[in-house]
Amino acid sequence: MASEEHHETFESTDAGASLTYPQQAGTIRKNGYMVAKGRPCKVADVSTSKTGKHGHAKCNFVCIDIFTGKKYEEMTPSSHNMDVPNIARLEYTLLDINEEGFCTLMMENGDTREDLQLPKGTEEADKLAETIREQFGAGQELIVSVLKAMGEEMINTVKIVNQ
Amino acid sequence: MDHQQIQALVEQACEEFKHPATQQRAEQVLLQFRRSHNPIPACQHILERSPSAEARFHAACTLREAAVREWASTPPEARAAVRSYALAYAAHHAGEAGLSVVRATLVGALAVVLKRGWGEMDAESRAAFFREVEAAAAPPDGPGAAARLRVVLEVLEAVVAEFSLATASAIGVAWDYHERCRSELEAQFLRQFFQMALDVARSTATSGAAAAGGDAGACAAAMALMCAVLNWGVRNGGGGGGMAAPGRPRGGGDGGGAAAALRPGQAWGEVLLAPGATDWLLGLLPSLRGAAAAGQLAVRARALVVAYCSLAGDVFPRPAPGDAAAASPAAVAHCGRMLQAALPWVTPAEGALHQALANDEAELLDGCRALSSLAANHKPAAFAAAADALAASGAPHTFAALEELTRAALAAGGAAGADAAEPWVVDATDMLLDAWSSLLSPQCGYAMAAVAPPRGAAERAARAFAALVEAGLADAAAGAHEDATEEEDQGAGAAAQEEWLSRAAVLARAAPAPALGLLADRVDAARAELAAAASSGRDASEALERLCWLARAAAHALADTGAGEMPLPPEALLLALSAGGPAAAAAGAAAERLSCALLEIAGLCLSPEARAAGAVSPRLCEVALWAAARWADTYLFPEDEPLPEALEARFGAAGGGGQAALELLAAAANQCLTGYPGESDLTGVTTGALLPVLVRRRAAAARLLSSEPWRALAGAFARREPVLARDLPQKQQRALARSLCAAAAAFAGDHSAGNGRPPGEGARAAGEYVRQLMEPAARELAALAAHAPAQLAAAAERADVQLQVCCLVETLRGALRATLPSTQPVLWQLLSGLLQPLLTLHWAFRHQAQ
Repeated sequence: MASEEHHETFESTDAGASLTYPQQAGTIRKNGYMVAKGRPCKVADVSTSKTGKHGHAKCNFVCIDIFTGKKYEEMTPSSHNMDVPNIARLEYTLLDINEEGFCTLMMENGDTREDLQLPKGTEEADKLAETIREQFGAGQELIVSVLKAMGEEMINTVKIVNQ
Repeated sequence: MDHQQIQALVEQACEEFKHPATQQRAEQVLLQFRRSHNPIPACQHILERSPSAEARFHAACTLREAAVREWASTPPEARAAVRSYALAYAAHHAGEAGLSVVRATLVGALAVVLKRGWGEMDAESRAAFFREVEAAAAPPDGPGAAARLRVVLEVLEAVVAEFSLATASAIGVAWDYHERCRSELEAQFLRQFFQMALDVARSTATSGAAAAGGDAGACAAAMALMCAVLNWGVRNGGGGGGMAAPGRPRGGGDGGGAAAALRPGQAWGEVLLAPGATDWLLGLLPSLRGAAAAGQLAVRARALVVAYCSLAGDVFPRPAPGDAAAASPAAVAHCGRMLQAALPWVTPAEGALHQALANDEAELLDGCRALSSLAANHKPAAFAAAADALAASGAPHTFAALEELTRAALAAGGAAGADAAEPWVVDATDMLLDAWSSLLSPQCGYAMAAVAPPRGAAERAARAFAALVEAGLADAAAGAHEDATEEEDQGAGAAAQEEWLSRAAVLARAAPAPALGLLADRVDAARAELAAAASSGRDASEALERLCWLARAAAHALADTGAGEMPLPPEALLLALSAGGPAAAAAGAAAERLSCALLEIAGLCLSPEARAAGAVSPRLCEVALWAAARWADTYLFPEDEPLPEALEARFGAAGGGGQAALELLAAAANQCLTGYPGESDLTGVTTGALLPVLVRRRAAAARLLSSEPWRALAGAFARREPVLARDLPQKQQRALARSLCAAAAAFAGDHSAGNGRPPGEGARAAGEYVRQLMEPAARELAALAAHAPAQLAAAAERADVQLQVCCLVETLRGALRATLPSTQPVLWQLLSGLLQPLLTLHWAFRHQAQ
C-alpha cells in the first residue's frame, strides 16, 4: 500500500502537488516546519506536557513565520495531525532591480519574471535587501534563491557568482 | 604623620563609615590605611590606645595584610615579633567580650604569619613557638585564667585551619609549600594539640565548670579544636599516609558528609579509644539537653560526638585474620559508648520528633547523623553487639529506637522528597535509611559466604518498611493531581527517586515474607480501588498514581538494576530463600505473589474495558512496562544461574508460567506501540526498555519468535504500517528495528538443543527472518531513489517524503546495529543494493539539514 502512494503522487511536479501534508504532532521536531494559524512557520521550540500526570500528552510549539517573522504558539494533543508545509527552493540570476524594489530574475531556461520584490518585513530580510542592493550596485553578478511555501515567495539568500 | 594623627584619622573614618553620606569617603581612607607602607607600628599604637572597637578591628586587619604583603622586606626578628605581639595582645584582652572580633582577626593573623615563616623555622624554633603559645595561658589560676586558656585553644584552632589545605589563605606561595606545611604539622604537632585540647575539655567538664558556664568558653573551644583535628583528614582528602579519609560525601543533609569516614590511622588508637578518652564527654552530655541544647557548648559537644562516630579504619585494632566478620572488641566498646551518647537525643522517638518540629531540630539531626555514621563505619555484627550490650544495661535497644524513629519520621513527611513541609525531616529520613542500608546489606567477603543481617533487625526492618510504604503511597496520592515535571521524570529528580527506592528495597529484602507480601496486598487493594473508581466514573488519578508507586517499589524490591553487570536476583533475597525452613518458604511464596501482581499490572493495559473506563493511563502503562522489564531482566529464563526454587516452579522453563509471562509482555508491548498514538514517553519505554530485555536472552527470544503477539508486531513492522513506520519518533524506530532483528539470535545455535537440525539451518532461518523484516523498507528506499531527477527534486521538497526517508534510514540503522554472524549475509546483500540509491537521495536532499 505504501509504495503505490508514491507512484501516483510523483507524476506531477508542482501543478497537482498539495501545499501541505498532515503529520502527527508528536513527530514534528525542532527546526522543522509546520503551519500555524494558516501561516508557514519554522519550529523554534517543542515541549510536551500533560494535564495532570495521567492525562494524554500534548505538544507545545513555538514557531516563527518564515515570511513575516511573527511568533506563534500552538498547543495540540500529540496524536493530532498538524499540517506541514512543502517548502520549495528555486534559484534565479538577478538581472535588475527597479526603483520600487521589484527584481528582474532569470531562470535557467532563460525566462524572466519581474513580480518579486526585495525581501522585507523582518530585520534579516531588510539586511538581506541592503546586501543585495550593495552587491548589485557594485556590479557583481548575483544568484538569488527564492523560498516558496503555501503560495508565497520571498528571496532567501544571495550568492556572488565567481568568474 | 605620627601615630597619634593616624589613630585619630582612622577613628574618624570608622565613625563616618556608619553614615551613608560619608561612607564612601571613609571607605577610601580606610583602604588607604590598609595599603599603606609599613603600617604595623601604627596598628600596634591603635590597638593599644584607641577606645573605638571598630578602629581596633581595622588595625588588626591591616596588621594581618601587611604582615603577609611585606614579608620579604621584614627582618626575621620583626616577623617573630609580630607573632608574639598578636599572641600577647589576644591573651591579655582575652576576657573582653566586645573585642572578640579583634581577637579573632589577630589570631588569624598569627596563624598566617606562622605558616608563612614555617619553612624557615627549624624544629627547635617551632617547638619553642608552641611552648610560647601554651605559656600565654599562664598563670593557670587567678582572674581571667579560663579566658586566656580559651584564647590559646582558639590560636591552635586557627593554626589547624590555616595549615589545612581546604581552608588555607592565599599567601603567595606555591602549592608544594602548602603541602609541606600540612604534612609537617600533621606529623609533628597534631597529636600534641589534640592531647592538650582533650585535657582541657576533660578537666573543665568533670569539674562542672563547663556546664555551669564558669570556664569562659574554654571547654567549647577545646571541643572545637578536637573536631578540627579529627576532621583534618576529611578536608585534606587523604594526602599522605597519616590521616587518610576517603569518605563518601552524602548529598543530602547539611554540614559535610553525614557518613564520612575519618581514618586517623593506627597511631591515634590510644588517644582516641582508651576508655578515659570519652567518659568525660558522656558525663557532660546529659546536662546539655533541653534549654541548653541550642547553646554553643551543646552544639560543639554534639559535633564532637558525630566526629567520634565517624571514626573508621586502622584506628581500631585489626581483628585476627580469618575472623573478618567478627567484631574487634575495641570497636564494639567504642560503638557502645557512642550509642550511649547519641541515643538520648532520639528516644523516645515520638517525643523527640515532636520537640524538634516545635523548636529546634539540630539535636535530632545530630542523632540521626551519629547513628548513620556508626552504622556505616562498623560492621553490622559489631553494631549489633554494641546495641545488645547497651540494652543489657537498661537503655532501650538501638534497633528498636531506630525503628521507632524511622516510623515517626516517615509519618511526619519524610517520604515527600522536595515538597516536604520541613526539609530537615527528609534529610533525617535519608540518614536513617542509610543506617538501615548499612545494617541490612549482606556482608560478602572473599573467603566466606554471605552473612545474614543481625538477629532482631529483620522484624524491625519489616515494620519500618510498612511505615515507608504507607508514607510513600500517601505522598504519591498527594501529588497525583499535579503536573509531572520534566525534571521529576527524567533529570535529577528521577535519579534521586531511584536511589530512595533502592534503599527502601534493602529494607524490604531483609524481611521478604512480610514485606513482599505487604506490597502484593497493596497492589491488590489499589487495583480494586482503580476498578471501583473507573466503574463509577470518578477521577482515578490517585489510585493510578498509587499503583505506579507500587509497581516501581515492587520492581526495586525484587530486582537490582543490572546495569553493567549480569542481572541476578538480589543477594539478600537469595540468602533468605536458601535459609530453609518455613520462613524461607513464606519468603518464596511472597516473592512469587508479588511477581505475579507486577505482571498483572502490566496486563492491565491490554484490557479494552479498562482503557475505555479510564482505569489505565499512558503513565501507568509506562511505569508498569518499565517495572516489568526490570523484573524480566532478572527472572525470565535466566541463562547462567538457576532461579530459586519457588520462582523456578512458577516461571521456569518447565512450567508454562514463563512462557505465559513472556507472551503477556510481548502483547503489552505491541499494544502500547500501536494503541497509544502520540505518547512518545510510553513508546520510548517500550522500545528502549522492554523490548531489548525480552530479546536479550536466547531462551526467551526463541519462545518469543513463535508467540502470537510477536508475530503480529513483526508483521506490522514488515508491512511498514504507518503507526510504526511514520508516527513513532525516529530514534524509537531505530530501537524497534534493532530489537526485532536481534531476536534472530534465537535461530542460530540450535545444535545443542538436540533437535537434530544441522547448524547451517539455524543461520539460514535467521537470515530469512531478517530478510522478511527488512526487505520492504529497503525496497521502498530504492523505489524513491529510482525516480527521474526532476521528479525526485520536486519530491524532496515535500515534508512527508522527507519524513519517510528519515524514518527509513533510522530503521536501517537499527537493523544494522543488531547484525549477527548469521544475519550478516542477508543484511549486506540488502544494503549493497541500496548504496547507489542512498547517494542519490543524499544529493536530492542536500538542502534539508535533517
